[in-house]
Amino acid sequence: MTRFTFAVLLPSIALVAIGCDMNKVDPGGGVSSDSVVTVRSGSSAAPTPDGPGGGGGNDAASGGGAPGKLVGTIKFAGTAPVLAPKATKGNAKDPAVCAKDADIPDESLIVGAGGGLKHVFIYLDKAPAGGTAENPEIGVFDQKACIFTSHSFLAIAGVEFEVKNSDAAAHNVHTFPQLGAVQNFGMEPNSSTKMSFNKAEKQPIQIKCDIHPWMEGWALVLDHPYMTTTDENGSFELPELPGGTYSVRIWHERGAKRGQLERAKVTIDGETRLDREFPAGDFKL
Amino acid sequence: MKFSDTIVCAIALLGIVGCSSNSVPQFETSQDTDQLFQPAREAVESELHAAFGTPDNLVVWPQLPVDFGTFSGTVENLNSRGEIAVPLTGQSPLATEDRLPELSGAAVLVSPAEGQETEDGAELAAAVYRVAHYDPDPKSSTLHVVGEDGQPAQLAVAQGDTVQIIGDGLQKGRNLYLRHCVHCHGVSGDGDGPTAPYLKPRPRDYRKGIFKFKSTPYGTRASRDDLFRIVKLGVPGTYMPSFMLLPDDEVSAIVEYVRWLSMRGEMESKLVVQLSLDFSATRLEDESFADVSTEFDEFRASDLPDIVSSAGEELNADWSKPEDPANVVTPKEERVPSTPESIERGRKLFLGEKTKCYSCHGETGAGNGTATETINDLPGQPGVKADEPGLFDSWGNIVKPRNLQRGLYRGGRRPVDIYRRIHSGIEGTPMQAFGGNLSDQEIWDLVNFVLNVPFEKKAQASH
Repeated sequence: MTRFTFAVLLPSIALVAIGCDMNKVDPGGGVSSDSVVTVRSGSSAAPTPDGPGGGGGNDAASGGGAPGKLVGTIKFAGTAPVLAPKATKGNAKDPAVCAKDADIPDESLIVGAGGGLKHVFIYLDKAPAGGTAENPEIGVFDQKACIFTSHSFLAIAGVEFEVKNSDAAAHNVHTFPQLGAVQNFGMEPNSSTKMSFNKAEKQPIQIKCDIHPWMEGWALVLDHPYMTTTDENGSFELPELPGGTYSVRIWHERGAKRGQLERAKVTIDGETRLDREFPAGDFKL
Repeated sequence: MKFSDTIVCAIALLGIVGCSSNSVPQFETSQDTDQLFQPAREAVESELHAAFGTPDNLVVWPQLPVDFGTFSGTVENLNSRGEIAVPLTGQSPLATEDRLPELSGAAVLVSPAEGQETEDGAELAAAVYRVAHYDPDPKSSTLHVVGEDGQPAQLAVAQGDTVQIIGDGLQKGRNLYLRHCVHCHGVSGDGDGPTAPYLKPRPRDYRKGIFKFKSTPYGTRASRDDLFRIVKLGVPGTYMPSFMLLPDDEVSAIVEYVRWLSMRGEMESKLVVQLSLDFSATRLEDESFADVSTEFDEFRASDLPDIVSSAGEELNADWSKPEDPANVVTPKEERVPSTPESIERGRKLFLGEKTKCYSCHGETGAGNGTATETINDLPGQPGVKADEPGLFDSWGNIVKPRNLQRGLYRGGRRPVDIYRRIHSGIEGTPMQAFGGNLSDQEIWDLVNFVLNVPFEKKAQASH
């Protein structure tokens, strides 16, 4: 048997040694082939198959109708689960500052008495043609008692705003954008600085503090003012829109489909309502 | 089965697998792309294919800030056999005097000499060929070309025409990458080569455009010099070896190819981000293929071209930025001498509330701060707890704060390297930038402290 083994072994080794050595590139890792180069010319987009063409974008107004605000309420249908606090009073890191006087709540699902859902982002992808709303003043992004005071934050790309650390403990602001540049900077106790987001995003992005990992918030960065968040009753109001039909995104951090609860088709004709109730199955719980 | 039989089979199998024809390198799509509605996924693949090609048919997208490698010359003579006599001058830093460029397969653009026009007065367009072979003998300098389809071409070339050869640098980088890097970093640069599953830390996945050890601020891409340095020196404390023995021109070619792979990955994710909310495969759970298809066709015709062209512009801006020396983090003040006083000031900062370094790196700098014991949410999945304690990086791996006692510094051990880690943080990790928080003097005190940590224990023990 030993002899037979060697008889087979030797040719096998020879095969291994010779078989892969014939290619010019010899990339070693078992990947070997020659390459050619093509220069891309003309327009940058690949040719598209025959489509309707010239659709003018998703959020462009179409049709008539009087201008008006979009108002409404977003609700959680049924009984919402009660989330445990992220840290109980007196049991957090840096106890002299964090959870000193009260629990640190889990703000990822806040449902009010009537079922109203807080921290839902309502927005358009693009500013509507003929829209006259001006960019809002961006709020202060504050860190207090080891909580981001704005769990849902709105910002305009490229516009600076104030970031504060109102605590006697150091924090860091770590952003997780999908399109813009990542940021992560330390803030010493009781300090203040300026920051901005460099690019508009497609959906809200996460902001975290790595020192206090329960600290978590969401920011929506767009290049136009047609965005808002719901209050503790689930109510919201978008700036006045020209009459027409729009795709309105309804987004919540626990939404089961990448956060998006619905992309609602809404026709604005004067003040228009958008009321929605989402069952537990639409959420990651 | 006997042991010897097993060996025979294993070796025979190795022989077959090692040389099989399916070892042709392929770019793979990301997980996020795979989760798209099928026509959306195909659109992403087709855009990537148009802008970057395949590992065997590399596309030069002139919009990208990549040195694809360009040689040029003026046609002296030509014949009908697809041969052009053209002495070439290297304009690419990838070319060196003693190394002949490997031009085979590169694109050839032949532009008519100035002033020539077609019969109806329009400017003559450049003719496109491929290099079949280049004979660099200075007496003849003959370029053999074929058509883009690889077949013998009808030459539309005249004496005095300008010849440009494009893409040989990318080919050179590609060949070297496939030889030296692909085992760990993968054909697509996804950090998932055949060796990757056995490595911790994992090899870098370039597709986010994020590199940790660089001289630019947080959020700015790495410069060519940064990547060159990493390839040359390796990353101490990881599996990334030093490629000091490769000549500089080869390292530069690898760096260009890695930058290009990063841009490809970023392009993919830029497209997917625009598509995944609306055209995820899960829509078919309660909607018909035809309905989603109609909506997608509309989007593809009206929105996608803009998305692609602005993605190209962004890649150009983002990857040009680190090459501007103004965007390199340079200390404004000279290093504070590493005196016992400075080290002590550094220690106080390290253990203080202003920076909280100890929270991750531990009070003795052993990399075992309380943050490493906390069970955190999985990245991108708020509310879902990880199985093991620790901090995460942007690639979803547990990342350990550096054990400073060991004196191994992944991004380099020069004082300025440590300065940059503290000033600008380490992108893709929880290590934050302290440049806005600390003065230069304070950062240098911390640098002096950090560089002294490996010697602290010995000093204490000898007391």
